[in-house]
Amino acid sequence: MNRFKCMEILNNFLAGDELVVISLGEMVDEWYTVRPGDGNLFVGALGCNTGVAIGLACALPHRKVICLDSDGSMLLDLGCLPVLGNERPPNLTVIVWDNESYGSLYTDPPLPTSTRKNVDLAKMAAGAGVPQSITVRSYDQFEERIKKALNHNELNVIVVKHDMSPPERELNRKRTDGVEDKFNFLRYIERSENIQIKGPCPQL
Amino acid sequence: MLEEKDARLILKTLEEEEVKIITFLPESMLKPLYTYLLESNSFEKVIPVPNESTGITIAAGAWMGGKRSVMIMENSGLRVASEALARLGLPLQIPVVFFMSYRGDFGEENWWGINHAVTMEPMLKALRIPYKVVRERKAISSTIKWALTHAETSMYHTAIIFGREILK
Repeated sequence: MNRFKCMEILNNFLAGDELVVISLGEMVDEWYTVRPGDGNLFVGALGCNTGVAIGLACALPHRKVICLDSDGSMLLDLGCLPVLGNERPPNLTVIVWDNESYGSLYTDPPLPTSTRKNVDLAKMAAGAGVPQSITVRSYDQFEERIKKALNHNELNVIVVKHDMSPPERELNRKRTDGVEDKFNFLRYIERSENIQIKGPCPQL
Repeated sequence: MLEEKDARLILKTLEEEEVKIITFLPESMLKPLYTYLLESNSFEKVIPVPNESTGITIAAGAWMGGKRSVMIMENSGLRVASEALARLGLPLQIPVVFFMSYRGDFGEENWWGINHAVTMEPMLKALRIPYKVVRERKAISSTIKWALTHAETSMYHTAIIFGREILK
């Protein structure tokens, strides 16, 4: 499977107000091309994304939160799995793009992550206490699982086995940096939730 | 170990300051605080974590969702949490307030505790994290309040370390 095509499938089923937490690497511009907008929190880090998404989902239990993580990133913070299993935030869907590679290193052949051999992240999540945890290997399976995750109020972990094929169309480059992305997302939360997170300073 | 009356004071201050989500990795010096947190109904979520880095990321996400949050741990956890603190703090400026017990503080009785103090302050300085060591009961509430305010004003992490005088 091609990751960009999977992202397009995912986006077809989104209502528009979902909060999406994105990891690092080529997936950033892919998701930015598929679904630009302030409802994206581009974390730009490995080993932080699922934790941030858990916190966001717990803070806003009435909002759908989608985490776009990767095999390398998830492997860097396996501590998030027991928290997922124990807390089970029902409004959270974690999608792990698993190409079994450190793809952003652009080596040929790609250098392997631990999932290239025996490690199974979906089974690890299941063992940590996430009942709805599955590995998908086809577009039909991916679509079916996404629809289920978005239509039910239950935590889902979906490990998507995809190849290293490039996107079928040219990507838009995200020009904003981390602080700008953070503030765009923060102000979006303030607007859409009618709350104040970062207010004006008390003295002019 | 933290006295129960001080654990209750910390809890009360967190409630008054409208902290809603707390993550922690329990250890021996702040023991009563963790017990009270798990028993409390004053917070929206109290989440024990198996790794300090995970606790920091969850607290950061909660803050981005508009909920004040705090992570509580031993100072040895700073070494584990440093990657998440750097990743979320330096390039994104998502603030996390965290409390630590000061294992290895001047007068430490355990040989294995000394190293926690050796690394703590240099790491906080390397990460450019403002911090206060609380050594008097009367400073507990005000320091917590200031740590929360300062983090939100500066859009960067702040830390409170409970010193030997508090952890009698």
